[in-house]
Amino acid sequence: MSHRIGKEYLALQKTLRDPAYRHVLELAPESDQDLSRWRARIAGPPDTPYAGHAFTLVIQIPSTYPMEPPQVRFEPRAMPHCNVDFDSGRICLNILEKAHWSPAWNVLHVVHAVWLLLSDPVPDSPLDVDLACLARAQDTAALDGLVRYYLAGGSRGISSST
Amino acid sequence: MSAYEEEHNISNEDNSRRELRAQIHELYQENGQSNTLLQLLSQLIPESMQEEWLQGKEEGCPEYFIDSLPRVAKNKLKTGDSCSICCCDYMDDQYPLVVELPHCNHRFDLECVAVWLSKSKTCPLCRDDVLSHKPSVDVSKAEIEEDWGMYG
Repeated sequence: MSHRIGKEYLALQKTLRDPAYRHVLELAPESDQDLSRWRARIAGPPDTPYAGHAFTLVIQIPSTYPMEPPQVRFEPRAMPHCNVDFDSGRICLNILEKAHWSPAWNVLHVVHAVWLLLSDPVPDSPLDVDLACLARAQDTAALDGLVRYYLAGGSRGISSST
Repeated sequence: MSAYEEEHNISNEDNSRRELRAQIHELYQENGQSNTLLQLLSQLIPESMQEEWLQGKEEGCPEYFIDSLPRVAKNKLKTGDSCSICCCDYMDDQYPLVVELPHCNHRFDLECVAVWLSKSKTCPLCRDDVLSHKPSVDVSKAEIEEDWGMYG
């Protein structure tokens, strides 16, 4: 079963060229010797305050993979989003939980799901309460403004402009 | 169940085992996967394991379900078909052991899906509850093990 992640790595060389995944700028293990630690870079979705920025995801593949989901987080203090804990980068996404994970999904699916979360925040299960309140109040101007402020490095966030 | 227990405790173990076997056989033919059958069967194994067996169903599928998954014959597999859990082509293996989930017909290596179903009740591909489909048990083809009392 541990060969699975190796197979994914090989397949990715081809899949990543698919235009459907053009928002996945990079997806590879940190080193070819250790396939349990991966990094991804995703482009902010167009028509969101994240557009024009790139974000790094840190991915940990458990030894039980694919029976258990990979652990995925953004870099600390880089992602203002109502389902991301800003300080740690932790992500609240149901498919990343054991109960909702499926072994038929792969690392690319996970990265894609995180990317989709950027344009489709779920304010009902927030890790960032302030942003979630704005999202719930449907105050898009304030929400986008606050996100842009963080992305520009406000409140000690990491500036992530491309 | 008390009547059964009384029988089970009688001194002649062979006799009780034979009767138990008959009861199980009858139950199996009547209602393939009922709870009564499971409870009855659980009494064949040591008490310490009974609870685990009856409660262990909460998370994953019972072992009998995994063991009873229909196998897909090799000539029904096409080159390029692969198991979505390990991503290996079935035909890479000279003797592929592939099973089909009864309710959705999704196929997997038995080795892969058995590990998954021991912890989950959902199909990895369609997320449906794999136990929701209750096929009628065809007892005419079922092999009745001669040594039913192997746990006794």
